[in-house]
Amino acid sequence: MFDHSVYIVASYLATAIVLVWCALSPLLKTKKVRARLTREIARTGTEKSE
Amino acid sequence: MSTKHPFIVFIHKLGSAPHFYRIAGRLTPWLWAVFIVLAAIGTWWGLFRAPPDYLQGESARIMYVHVPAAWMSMLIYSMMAVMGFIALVWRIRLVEVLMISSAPIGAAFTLIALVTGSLWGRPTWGTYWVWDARLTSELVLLFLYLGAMGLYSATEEPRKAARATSLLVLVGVVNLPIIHYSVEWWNTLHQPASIGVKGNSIDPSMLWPLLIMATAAKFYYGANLLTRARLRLLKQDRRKNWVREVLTSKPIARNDGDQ
Repeated sequence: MFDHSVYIVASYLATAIVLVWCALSPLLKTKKVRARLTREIARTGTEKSE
Repeated sequence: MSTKHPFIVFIHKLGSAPHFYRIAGRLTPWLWAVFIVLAAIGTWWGLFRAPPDYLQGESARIMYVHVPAAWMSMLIYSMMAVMGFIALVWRIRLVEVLMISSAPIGAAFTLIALVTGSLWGRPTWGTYWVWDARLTSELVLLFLYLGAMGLYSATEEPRKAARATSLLVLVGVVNLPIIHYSVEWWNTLHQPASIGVKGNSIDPSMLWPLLIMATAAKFYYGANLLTRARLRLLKQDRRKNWVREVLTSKPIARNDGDQ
């Protein structure tokens, strides 16, 4: 009997990897963008007060 | 004096970036939570509780990830086409943002459908890939998604980029009926649809986990779409007061056309 386990595991693993990567990438980018914008706002705020 | 219906007021408010950002932020964790619960139940059911297929044996368990991904690949493209049409005709910025934010998610589902289909093809057909009508048209769909993302990134001005991308997406709609009917129009290795409006040829013991996984995929799309749309709005509106408000948690007088 042909063992199908390797194909089943590979399918579920590939699905999990793609879905996790696709979900995490905007979250990580949001964190980066928020940090950058917050720095920009802090800098422009300081410039204005000077 | 006429007063607007609360639902119309809600929809109008939703069209404004700050309102959308706030509502989407509240909704997203719930959508992720429902997705995780449904995906866990569906995976467990599909892998351990559903019976093996009488013909394909255990390899039929790949169906619980392959079929929802293939459905999502076409559903998301259809959604993008509708949003693209709205973006072209009514030029609603939020719809443009939602359309382009859908593309990477659609591409991810198409990639999953192709990879899992290929892994399912090896034990059932004896090969990972054939230039069969269904497989080829699904691959074309992946290229359409990548093309839309590339075209959007290549144009600097976001509104112009969205219009050009909408046009490309609308032209690509012709591929959807080709994918759907490819198994009927041509002699293909791919099996015809087991679930349709005329009835199902699939046993309920296999249909239930499939429907649960398909529903989970929709919640994933919703949560991921809102996350991506919020990020895009933050980037596009970085100079506007509402973004400053969001980032500093300090209310700022509105005079910059935050809508």
